[in-house]
Amino acid sequence: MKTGLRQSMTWLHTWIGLILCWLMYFMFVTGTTGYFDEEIDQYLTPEVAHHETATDKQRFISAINYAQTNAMDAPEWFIDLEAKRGGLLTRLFYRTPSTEDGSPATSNNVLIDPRSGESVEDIARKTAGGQTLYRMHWRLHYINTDFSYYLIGVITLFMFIGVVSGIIIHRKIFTDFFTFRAQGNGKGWLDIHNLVSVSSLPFQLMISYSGLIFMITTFLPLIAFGSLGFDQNAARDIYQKLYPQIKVERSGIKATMLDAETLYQKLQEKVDIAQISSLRIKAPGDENAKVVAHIADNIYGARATLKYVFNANTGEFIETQDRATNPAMLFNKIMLELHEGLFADIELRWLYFLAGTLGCCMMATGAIYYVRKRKIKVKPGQAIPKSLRNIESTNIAVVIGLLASVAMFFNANRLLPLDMENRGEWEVHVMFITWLGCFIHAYFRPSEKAWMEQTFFAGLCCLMLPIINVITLDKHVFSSLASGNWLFASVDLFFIACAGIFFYIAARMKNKAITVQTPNKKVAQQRSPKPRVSQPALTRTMGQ
Amino acid sequence: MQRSKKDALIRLFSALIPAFIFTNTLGIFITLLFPSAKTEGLSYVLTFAFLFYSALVMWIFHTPYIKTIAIVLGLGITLTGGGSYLIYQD
Repeated sequence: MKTGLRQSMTWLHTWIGLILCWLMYFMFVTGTTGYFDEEIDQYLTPEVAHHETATDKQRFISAINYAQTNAMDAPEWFIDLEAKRGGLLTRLFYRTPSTEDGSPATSNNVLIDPRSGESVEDIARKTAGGQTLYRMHWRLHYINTDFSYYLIGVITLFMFIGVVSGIIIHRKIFTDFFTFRAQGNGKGWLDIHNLVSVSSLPFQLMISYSGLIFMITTFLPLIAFGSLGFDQNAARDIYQKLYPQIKVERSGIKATMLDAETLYQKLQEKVDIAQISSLRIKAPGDENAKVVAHIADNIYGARATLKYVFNANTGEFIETQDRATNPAMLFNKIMLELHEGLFADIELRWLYFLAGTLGCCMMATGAIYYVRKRKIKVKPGQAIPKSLRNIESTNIAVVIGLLASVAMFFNANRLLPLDMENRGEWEVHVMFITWLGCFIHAYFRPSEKAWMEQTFFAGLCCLMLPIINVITLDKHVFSSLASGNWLFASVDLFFIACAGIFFYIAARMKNKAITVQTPNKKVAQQRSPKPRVSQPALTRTMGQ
Repeated sequence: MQRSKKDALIRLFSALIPAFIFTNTLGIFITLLFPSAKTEGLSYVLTFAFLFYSALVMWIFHTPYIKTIAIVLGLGITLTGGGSYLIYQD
């Protein structure tokens, strides 16, 4: 059967949307929070004076001193020196090797206060933090990481196809953009879907294609391997050219590493310390110990590949290293940098957040429109098909329930006992338990009531956070505003604004439901004895 | 537009497996034909492979006959795979 391109793409767009929109929505919500991951980390550890500052020298010296005291037996230290968007702490990562008495190797991720040189582990509450929330958008949770990586790859591919097919099916893309039909026939949702999709179209294209670029080595290794005749050595050579690794073999001869102050001075003779994004100290305490300084630049940020290599014991400069590069690799690097937005300052970060939010709206409105369109076709007195009812329940739990659950993740950070075992993991459990509750609620309540109640619940979850802060912390919205701690004030105000929006929507749903139901109550009762049958008030109200 | 479940599943399978294999064999073939250094050719091919794959998936869901899909993908895999093998033998 021959069909036009627009028709076949409409079919593809609808089915991709129907099958994958819930997971894509989850990816978008958690990914969008990732643009403020560092800020969320700071917000979730209110005991640390994040708003205070430290110099580059303090960061450098405190991290090296800490590592020299606590991690001399580690094969390598990684020190993240970048002041993350005004954050105070420096991150030190090292692995402790397994010992002869059977103690297993451990990974240590230490946050150091550069002013005191101490780890904040004893001061700050244990939290999953913004990093966990952000990682969920590609690693999901509770399932095997490799599996989730492949799954997310396939979804990203279909999302890209969904965006492109969405462009194809709109013959009059600009006319559609300025159209809004609020006649209650469900078209209003399509118009909002068009509006949010078109207004954030460049972002949606960029985010989905750059997401695929992250997957290149996972999904297409055969191209690289096959073009080299499946020769492992040739593949290794090419890999070394593209991603050069500085390998340092331990000689077994002990040597004294330079103290932090001297090392700082030696490095500064060759490179501006402020430009160093991170340091790798390889084989510390050995005769062959080396310091590798990664240099950040304005375009590629943390993806910059220039490295300066020094002798860790003498401070002598050895060499600079950079990757082999070509226009395609530069394009990839720029796309990846655009995806992560690490280069963005606070204003641009908010723009990213807005574009991400529009992406969430795109998924949500598309999912709602699918159900509305089909519900309107159900004749009075005719039962709504079970499959449609299940789709709508899932829509409710995903669109609203997920937002309530994320708010509960923040609340859990404030409410769980500070000395609780696996506290960070429990914050995540609370989020998913809340979400599960939302699913159960959505499946057992009539859909129009479930929409209203979950929206109200989401508002309540959002409002709880600033209230709990006022009760339990000295860093709450009022004190933060008074002291000019804008990060804490912004997060609290954001949650208050979200609560206001949710309450407003819930109130509107309730009022409209009452207005529509009251005059026709008798008729409606005669027509539909069961609450799930036909004429749902929300069909009329939300379409208006 | 209506599609039978069987038709949709065959297209989905074609999009996920044969189309993916075709993307890989074509990628290998172009990399081998690329005139400049292998790293450069490989970088270009990998960068645009997903673009080609996406277009192929869209074509699979657009083209009216499943037989056409089978012929195009089958021929494509055979020619590019065989071509790569011959080039590599040289």
